[in-house]
Amino acid sequence: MKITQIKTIRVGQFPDVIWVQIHTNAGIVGLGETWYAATTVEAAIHDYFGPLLIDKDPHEVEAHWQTMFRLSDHAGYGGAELRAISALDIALWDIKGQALKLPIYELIGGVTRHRIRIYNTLGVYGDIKDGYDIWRDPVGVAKNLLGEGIRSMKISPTDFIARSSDGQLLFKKELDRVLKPIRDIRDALGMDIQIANDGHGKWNLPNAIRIVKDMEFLKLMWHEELISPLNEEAHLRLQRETNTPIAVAERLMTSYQHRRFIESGAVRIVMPDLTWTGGISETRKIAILASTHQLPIAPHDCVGPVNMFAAAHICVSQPNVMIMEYNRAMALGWYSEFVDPMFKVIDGFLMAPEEPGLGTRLKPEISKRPDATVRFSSESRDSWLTSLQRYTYPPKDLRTEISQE
Amino acid sequence: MKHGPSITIATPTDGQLLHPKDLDIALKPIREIRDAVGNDIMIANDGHGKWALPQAIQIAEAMEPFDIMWQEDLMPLMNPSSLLRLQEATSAPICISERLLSRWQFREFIENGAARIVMPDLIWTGGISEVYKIAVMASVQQVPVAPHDATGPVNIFACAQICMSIPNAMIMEHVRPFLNGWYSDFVEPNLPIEHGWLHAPQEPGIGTRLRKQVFERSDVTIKVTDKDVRVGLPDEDWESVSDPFVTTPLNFDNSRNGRSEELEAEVYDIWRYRKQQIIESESDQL
Repeated sequence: MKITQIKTIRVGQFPDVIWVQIHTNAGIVGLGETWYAATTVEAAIHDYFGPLLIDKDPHEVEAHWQTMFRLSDHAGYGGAELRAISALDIALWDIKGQALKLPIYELIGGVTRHRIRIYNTLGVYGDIKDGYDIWRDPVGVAKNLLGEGIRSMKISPTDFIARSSDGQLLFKKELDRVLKPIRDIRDALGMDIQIANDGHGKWNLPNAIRIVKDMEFLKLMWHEELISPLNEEAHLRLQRETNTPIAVAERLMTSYQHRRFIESGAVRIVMPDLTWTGGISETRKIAILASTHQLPIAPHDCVGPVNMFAAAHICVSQPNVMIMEYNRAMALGWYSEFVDPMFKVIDGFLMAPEEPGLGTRLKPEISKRPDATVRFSSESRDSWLTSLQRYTYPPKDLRTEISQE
Repeated sequence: MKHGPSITIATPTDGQLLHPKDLDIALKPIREIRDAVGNDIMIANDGHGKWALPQAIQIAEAMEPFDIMWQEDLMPLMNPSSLLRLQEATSAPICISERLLSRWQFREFIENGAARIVMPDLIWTGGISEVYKIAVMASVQQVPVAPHDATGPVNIFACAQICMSIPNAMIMEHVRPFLNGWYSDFVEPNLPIEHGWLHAPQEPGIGTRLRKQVFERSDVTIKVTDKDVRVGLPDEDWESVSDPFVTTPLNFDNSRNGRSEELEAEVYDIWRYRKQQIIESESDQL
């Protein structure tokens, strides 16, 4: 089997999302996705990474990952490049699964569970306004989630009060006010619902320490990214100040960036984003690294429907998965408009996909939308890093004397 | 090639004392190879875990002029800090070790920088699953894997699957007298080893089968297990419990074949009791 064409699709309605389809001469089409810097990702796919895959065998997923990553890493790998590689990696796994007629999870260890618990991140889209409602009627939101079988939720109460000082100054009074929704939920429902706190990397270290200490009595599921994960020693200092586990972080790219946080003990819950950190291949490796330190992973969403499918394969196959993120405002609001079939959430669990490969397809009408930008490429190119034209290689007549291959 | 010249001279003192003269004699074969063919052949040294730290450093230093491919298991692998001291004392990479079992035993040696080459034995450390995980752990330290053999033909087939699929495989061990002497008597197809390369197996699965003749040998002992003795619980009943705590696999084999009626009843009682507990604790929560 050969890769014949790579296609990217964006829509004006969601300018940060990009889908990639890898087409093959066998008629199998693999689907991938990522979020953020979509136009840059599009260029990275068509100008840099796509040409490395054209005419190649899609089964060689690990080799393709290495070739793409090394081309990027040669000049210092970055966010948009890893997002492009992640989307392509997921699409390659999709092809392989379809070709072998097995769901991807069967190729990465098999099921260790058939479903994974989800938590709801409070979002706002369409009719679902969890993110606003939590300020007016926190107990109502919590009860509503419990009614759906969702027993955990994530909230970002401190984002707003970090704004005025860029996280450099924290007023205790303000903190007290924004924690009221969580206090109300605890007063009304006790520990019936687990609550995680996401700080989105807004604070400096001393303010983050003050926040975790002031929130200790609320017994949270985790604190996530109160400080940006730039320095694992600072994170370790934060973890030492609290018994609540620290979760890090969708913004770490590759197992190499995760390594230092895992090994130093700075993180107790590892939260890779599949569509940013390097796809299914790299997330599996991160799960393995976490497992050697007896840590769980809790994959990130708020990306898109393909990410949920890809994460589901990791969640049902890797033994050390704690819980999966789910944003019901986004999932119910627009995810289902783009893929068919839609992933299944039943009684607060994300179910294992049932079809071969990834388990879903981008709906054909998406490419035909008036706000769609579709780009194709089908030209092959080898990585210049290993091209025999390299100026660092000896001239042809001297090569046989040197190389024993 | 790999050679273990220091193994026999460790015996008289149990590795606690090494006379330079003894070492000098033991290193004669390597010296002769280097004199005759220079660096045409790479040579690794295997110590089989015989020496104390100062003697291990003494050996590594004495072998420095020979450009050793790696120094393997000069000491038993009891202490990652001690092994790091050995690595710091020599320019040859330290290689460890078929005797470490599971990623948890490998972890500290890999993370502290003591291991520059990781040598899992697939059929001892936890199989294909675990060797993959060890290779991932090594990869984040930018360290290669060189799987161990000297065990049997199926091991090499399994190692071949790993060697072809992981990016950080360095080289594969094999023992020529074993390969030519007995491996091929037991498996069909035989190992794809040719011209200094182990090739990717071509068949589905591991790529080989135990030969039929093996089962018919006069010295053969065959033991068969075909009874399901897991204290597992009937699938459909588990599925019906909406249980927040149990996320264990639900793919227990449903078959009750081979269970005695008493065992069946016992299992059922355990299951009924746990199910009741779960329902109670769930209603406590809600």
